[in-house]
Amino acid sequence: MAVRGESDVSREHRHSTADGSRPKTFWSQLFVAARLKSRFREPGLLWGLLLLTGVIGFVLLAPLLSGYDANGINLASPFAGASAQHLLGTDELGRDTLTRLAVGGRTSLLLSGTATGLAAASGIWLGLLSGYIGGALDLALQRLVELVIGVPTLVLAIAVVSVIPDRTLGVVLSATVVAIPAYVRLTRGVAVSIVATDYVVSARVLGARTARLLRRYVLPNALGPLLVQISFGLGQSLLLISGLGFLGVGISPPQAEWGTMASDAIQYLSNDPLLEILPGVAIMLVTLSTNLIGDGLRDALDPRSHSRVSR
Amino acid sequence: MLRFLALRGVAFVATMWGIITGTFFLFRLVPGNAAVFIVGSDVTPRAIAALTKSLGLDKPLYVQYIDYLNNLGHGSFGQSVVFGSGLASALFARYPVTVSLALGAIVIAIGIGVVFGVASSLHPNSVFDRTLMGSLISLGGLPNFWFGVMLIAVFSSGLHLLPISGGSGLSSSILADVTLAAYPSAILARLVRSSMLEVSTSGFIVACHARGLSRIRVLVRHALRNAMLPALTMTGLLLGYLLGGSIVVEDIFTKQGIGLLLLQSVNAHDYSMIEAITIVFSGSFLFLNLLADMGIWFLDPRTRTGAQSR
Repeated sequence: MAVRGESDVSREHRHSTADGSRPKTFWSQLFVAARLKSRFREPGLLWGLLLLTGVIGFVLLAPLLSGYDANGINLASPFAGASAQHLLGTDELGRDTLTRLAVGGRTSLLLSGTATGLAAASGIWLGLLSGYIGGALDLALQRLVELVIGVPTLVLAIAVVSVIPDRTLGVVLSATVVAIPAYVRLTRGVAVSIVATDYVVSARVLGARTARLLRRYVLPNALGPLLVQISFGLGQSLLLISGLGFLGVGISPPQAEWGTMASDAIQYLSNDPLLEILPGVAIMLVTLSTNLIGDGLRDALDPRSHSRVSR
Repeated sequence: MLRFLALRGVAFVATMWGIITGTFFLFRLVPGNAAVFIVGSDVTPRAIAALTKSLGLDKPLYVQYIDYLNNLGHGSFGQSVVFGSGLASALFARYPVTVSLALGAIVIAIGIGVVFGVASSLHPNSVFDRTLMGSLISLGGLPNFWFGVMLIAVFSSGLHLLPISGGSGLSSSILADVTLAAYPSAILARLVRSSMLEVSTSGFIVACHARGLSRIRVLVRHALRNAMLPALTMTGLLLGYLLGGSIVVEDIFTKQGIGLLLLQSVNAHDYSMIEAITIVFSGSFLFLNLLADMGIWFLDPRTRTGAQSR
């Protein structure tokens, strides 16, 4: 910064000198653009977002366009192969596979999205409390988190589902409970390290309230890692929820859901393997996209991965 | 050593107590009378009252809790109300199936993880590295239930190479183990690769090469030994996945382990059985995790000094 003339020339090539506090010149604006672009230069992030948007678009639009009812039984044409009427054929009860796949996807994605949202919201709150207030509350919460982590994920999920009479509610709650510890630990870690920094201490000296400190300083610092965790968590929730469905302890048929569809199709593998393959591929595409987004976000937001990307 | 063991032992017991307490109260949340679930609502109120009394459900909650802990202390999980036998005997008859499944999978996962991870790290970012890691991670990312069904479809139903279940010996369980090992293999391979890359640039490895040690000796004796430490920690964590995943694998390959028993118990509303299986699964996970930690303690002298100075 001391040698302004020099850096003006070299800035075109060196992205690493980007600095938020620079006065707004043409060059600095170019920099902001380049920096934004470099975030999206993570090809994985872009592909992941496109893939996820594509899947969501499919599950929302396909049933509207196909004109079939996902549970509309037509016993006259079971296992009809792909045709103009049924682009992906029909299942054992003559239901349109394409429509069922999309409607099943709505259920799977909506439930895993809800669980991820609930887990993130409650986990972040608990993590903030634990890290900021500390003391006995922190100790108690951390022991509680250890207990939850001490039970294998799927076992815990099945135990929670078994005590809740309503299956849909049980599935969402179980996926929420198993996901919470990751958010608590992550937020708590950031809170503990940020609360001790000089700028937070000075903000408190200036009279800032707890809510402001958490919102203004702690949360923004945790936002990057949290977004990464939410992205991975969405894929994991989908795997868990469809896994529960597959095992017969999740969403109950005839409601379409990718896991139960995969489970139902096993006995018809010789009639139409597509019925088995499609739900699995759909789940795989979503988890692939969430992993790509998570990895991409981590690389884009991690200050160490690029030479110096300011937040 | 003693101090380390004592600390970890106390932590293990405390966590187990917490989990037992947690599951106890979780299953007392079940709305309605458990006795009604068992016999159905179409019997006389007197029969329900009798069953309620014989199950001890009429006592206050804290008495039930103390009774439960007391029974556990004597190695009894109580009666299975649906399966009609002592819970512990039904459970432990099936326990070895689940454990051998999980252990078989962890052996495969460590084997694949180390071999592929090291192979991949030899020429980082080469076509070989990218292809190997890419395919392994894609395989590991598949839903395990779906992967298992696909394996059956291809190898058993399609090619008639391997039996789905039954039979004896290695071939009967190889598909099940591979299904379970897919995800841990991918995670371990990626971890071994990255820690090998990290270790191989460190000073002491350069020094080993400079001293003229053979490439293979440096790789195995010096680099891999250090790179294995994070992998061992990860293995301990992956055991939770393996135990939980065995439920899925037992369901697909109809293996009579406690995972399948858990699913049957959920469908039969046998809450005391679900409770017992949850505790056994968690106990196994925490115990195997403890073993993995002790392994690290033996392998890495640095953790030993750390434990003593505490």
